[in-house]
Amino acid sequence: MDSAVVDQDQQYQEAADIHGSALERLAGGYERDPGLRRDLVQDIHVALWRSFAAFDGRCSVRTWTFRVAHNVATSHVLRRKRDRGKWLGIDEIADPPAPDNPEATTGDRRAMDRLLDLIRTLKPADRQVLMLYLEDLNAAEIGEITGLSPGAVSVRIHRLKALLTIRFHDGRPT
Amino acid sequence: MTDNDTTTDLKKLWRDQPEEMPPMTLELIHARGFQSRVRQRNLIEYVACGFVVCIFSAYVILLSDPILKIASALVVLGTLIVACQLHRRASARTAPATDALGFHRAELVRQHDALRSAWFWYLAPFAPGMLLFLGRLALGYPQMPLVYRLITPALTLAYGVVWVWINGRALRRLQAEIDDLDALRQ
Repeated sequence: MDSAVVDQDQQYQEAADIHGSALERLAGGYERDPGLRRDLVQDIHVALWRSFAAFDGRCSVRTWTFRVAHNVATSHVLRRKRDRGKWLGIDEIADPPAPDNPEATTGDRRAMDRLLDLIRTLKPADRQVLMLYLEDLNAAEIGEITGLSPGAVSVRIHRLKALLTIRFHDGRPT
Repeated sequence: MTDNDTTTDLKKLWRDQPEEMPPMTLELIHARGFQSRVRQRNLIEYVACGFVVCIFSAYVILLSDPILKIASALVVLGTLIVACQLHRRASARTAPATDALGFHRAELVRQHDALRSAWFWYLAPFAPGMLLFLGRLALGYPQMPLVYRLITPALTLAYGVVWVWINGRALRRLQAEIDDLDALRQ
């Protein structure tokens, strides 16, 4: 096997080892169906492996990995035309109704389901920002991945934090 | 509770999600990447087949020379045969969840066999129609300038040479991949 392919394999393997679980979480934010989610994760890994043939080191491996993964996942959801009309921007999301059973909303699983529902409702650009924020990336890194300016990212993060607080205030996950 | 408390908790909740999928192996990645390349190649081939069918169907309708009409119809028929054979012999397949290595090797061998016999199922179906068409153009219209009569056969010949070269390179690459896999399995 030639050395370029070996390098590509090695770079991919290192990225997959470090970011594999984040890629699985990312797929969860784009695809609800477990079977399709598994396919999406595999598509992301294949695209990532392929992408390392052209990786020039001008950004970090983490930035590169998330960029490729979000592009694949966004293409995946954009193919489903009927869902596109249902997506909302951060400012378009209404406050949620009060939960019928506040006790049930305190469980981690329930909070996670609500968080995923919220993520999957968002338009791709806001969805990317929210998931990268949840991965604990800063505004500059999120900007580098999404192509938004750091200022635009900061504004979105500010709005997302307010939205999350309203949505999860009564059902604090921990 | 502050915004920061809530989002810190949510970040932790997000990152603590349990992993549900087994890690992807490089072999599975290679197998899926290969299938995706095959799918892409075949898509280009089907589009090219559609283009040829449209052009030569138009010739069947528009040309007045009966020999050129027959030749064009044969090219259309040959193209349809090629598209069917491509689907039958060299279409992409979905990798099963288990034995990725075995599946990948079998697919590499399948594509290798398809390429090795491509002269028979990819070139031969075109031959009757194209030869008749080019022969008629070259010999049946002496009043046309020689350069016009030779340009299509020359382009066809050039395509054939490039095809043989690309095919040979693809065969060598597939064989190298099969050898790598065999070395890995031993």
